[in-house]
Parts: sequence; structure tokens; C-alpha cells
Amino acid sequence: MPTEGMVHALNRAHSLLAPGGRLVDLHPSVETARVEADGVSIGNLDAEQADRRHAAAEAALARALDEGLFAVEGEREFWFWTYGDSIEELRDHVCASWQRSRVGDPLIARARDAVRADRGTVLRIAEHVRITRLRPVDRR
Amino acid sequence: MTIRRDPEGLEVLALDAMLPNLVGRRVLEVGCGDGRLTRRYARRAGWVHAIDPDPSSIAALVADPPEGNVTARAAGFLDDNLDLPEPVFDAIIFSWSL
Repeated sequence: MPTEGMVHALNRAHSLLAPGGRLVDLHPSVETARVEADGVSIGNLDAEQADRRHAAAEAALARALDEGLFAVEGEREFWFWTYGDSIEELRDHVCASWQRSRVGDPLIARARDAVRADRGTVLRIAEHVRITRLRPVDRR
Repeated sequence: MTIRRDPEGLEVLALDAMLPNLVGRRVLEVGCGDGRLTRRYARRAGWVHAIDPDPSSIAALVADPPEGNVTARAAGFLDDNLDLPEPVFDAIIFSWSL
């Protein structure tokens, strides 16, 4: 959904909120998702399309605020971690479930090296997520 | 073979911080996917209407919704014929859907 569609969605949400209602938006920040081995980054996913989409979401929210549609009441960031038993499992999960990212071959090789060096290595994908609470502004 | 998504529960903790009082509230969740997040907060809400444009993503939630207060349906938020059970909601959650 390009920025225009996202702004349309924000307008629709505004119209569907009851008095006192709130919109909460969660989406990955523009920081690219990465693979971690024992909590240390070993490289980013190939995620050019995903990064563009996340930037578009940021732009849409900024526009909704600029246009006086919503006001920010609260915001925080957190890490969303997805664990797998192997890099192949994580790769297949991304391939099946994510539309705009992939685990590239160089990253797979680095993960295999890490596991070869220590069979107990914990592999996970790290996504940085922003959550925002938005109050609809009365536009009368 | 087990993929484990957010076993720490940081996502629902963040949601709780943003919507601390869901009791009795009417919630619309947009982009619920398989209901990963829905299942973690729905019990506390009054009721939840969850939608996702991808029928294969939402199939698991449609087939096995959390007890009682969740309706789930494959639909896009911007669909012209989006038929919502209520005209207004106390909370709308854009769940990784913008």
C-alpha cells in the first residue's frame, strides 16, 4: 500500500472511532531487520522493499499528524524476535511469511559459520518495532 | 522445526502500555494475520473484530478463534463493501498493516 493508500486508511480509522476511541499503530521502524547469533547481529536481511514500505508508513503517519487528523498520545519502541532452530528454518519462514524480505546467501553462510563454531548458538531475526497511540482530532 | 515469534511477549506488553484498559472495549484489529497478537489480548477486550486481506493468513484465526468474543474475517480495511459489525470502535489496532 503506497503512502496515499495508508493516508486513506488513517482517514477511515478516524471515521470509525467512537468518542474517546484511540488508534494504535504498530509497524517495523525503518531499521532493517537482521539476524542475530547469540544476540549479536551477523547481518541484515535483504529487505529493500520492506524498508520502502516502512518508510511509507512513517510518511503516512507524519502526514496524518501534519493535516491534523490525529495527535500522538504515546509512543514506544520494542524488539520483536523470531527464533528458529536453524538458519534454514528462519530462511524458509521469511520466504513463506514475509512478502518483501529474504535471508540472503551471504547471511546464511555467516549463520552456518556461527553455528559450526558453537552448536548451541541461538539464532533469531530481530525487528525493531514502533507502536504509537493516536488520538483522533475533531475536525469540525 | 519450530519457529517461535516473540516468545518474550514484548509486543503485547507494548500494546498493554498503549491501551491499558481494554475491558469491555470494542476493538477492530486490522491486519491480524493468523491472530498472533489477537490471541494475546482478546480475552481482556469486550469483543474483537479482526480482519486481514489475505485469506490464507487469517484462516487459522477464522477456524480457531479465541473463546467467545472474537470474530475474524478475510477483508481489506479499504474494501468498498467492508461490512463491520459496529459503526464505531473504542480502539482500532493497525497490526503491522500500514
